[in-house]
Amino acid sequence: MLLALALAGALVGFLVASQHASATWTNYCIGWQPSGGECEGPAHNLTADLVYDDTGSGSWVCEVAVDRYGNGVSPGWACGGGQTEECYPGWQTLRGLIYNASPYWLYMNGTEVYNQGCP
Amino acid sequence: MSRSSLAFRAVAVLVVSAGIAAVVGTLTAGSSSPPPFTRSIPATRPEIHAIAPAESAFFAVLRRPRRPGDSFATLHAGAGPLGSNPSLARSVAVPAGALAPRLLSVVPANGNVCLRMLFKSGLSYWQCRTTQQAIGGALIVGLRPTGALHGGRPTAPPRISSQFIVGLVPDGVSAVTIHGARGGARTVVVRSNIYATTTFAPKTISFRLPGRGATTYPAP
Repeated sequence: MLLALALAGALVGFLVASQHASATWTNYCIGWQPSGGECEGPAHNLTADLVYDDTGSGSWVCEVAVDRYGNGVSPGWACGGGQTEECYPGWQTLRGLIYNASPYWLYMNGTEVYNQGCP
Repeated sequence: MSRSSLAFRAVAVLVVSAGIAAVVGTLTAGSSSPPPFTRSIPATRPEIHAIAPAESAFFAVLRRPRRPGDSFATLHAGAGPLGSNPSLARSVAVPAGALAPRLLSVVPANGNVCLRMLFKSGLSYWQCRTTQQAIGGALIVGLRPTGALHGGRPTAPPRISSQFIVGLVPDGVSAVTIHGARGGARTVVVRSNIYATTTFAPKTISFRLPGRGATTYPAP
């Protein structure tokens, strides 16, 4: 019985550890942004970058990814209502930038994805 | 051995072995610590395999048969945002321009409709709205140039600049009017439920929705 419990415990521990190891995204710039506010995320080999207006108002938010030299990835800023998503091949180190394009303060966040692609 | 003592030992073995496995698993997962995350990306919705009747009813582009040009090469396999299915996409031609996508697709999603744009640089951009919002003409995208670098990163997206505006409107909307921030207006013809144009400093986008009258949205 003790052996069975030990195995069960080991399985629980493995699941806890593998949950961390499989993380493929990170949130950045979580918080209030003034109108015109901009915030930059960490560097990753991005496969996707998302921006959200967490207030649920559907306000205009923008995003762009920049390379290590600070150049925006073509075509530039993409702006949409409430949430937008860009997908990248994943071979280039990029940083996500989010921008509040609405006339109001917005509670926003960005999400960088780097091991899990989008079409 | 008493029953309580045996239970205590069992719990101790469970906790200790779980802790050891967690430590070993974390150490062997890689030398770098896992990235911080405080919330997950939005719950992925199941990929749809048929277009919702409400979307077919309001968007002729989703009623027409698929053509060879509707298929697009995906950057990565799998469903798109919100359960969108690339194999249900319909492509629509848009005017060329420095900010314009190489390919624009209308992609049905799970309770949503998406616009997917593929650019020359190889990246794709997705913008989705709920079906009801899309029926109301709220699926609008604005693409702006990055502008000059400042402090090692692009300046904020310039509002007073040329922008590429693209949007989805339901059947019965034949044209939209885009008003500029500096006055003036231009009419853009709708084709296959899509309007798209390069315009300078757009302020509002207006059109008449069948049965709902005049509708105006601020430009992105």
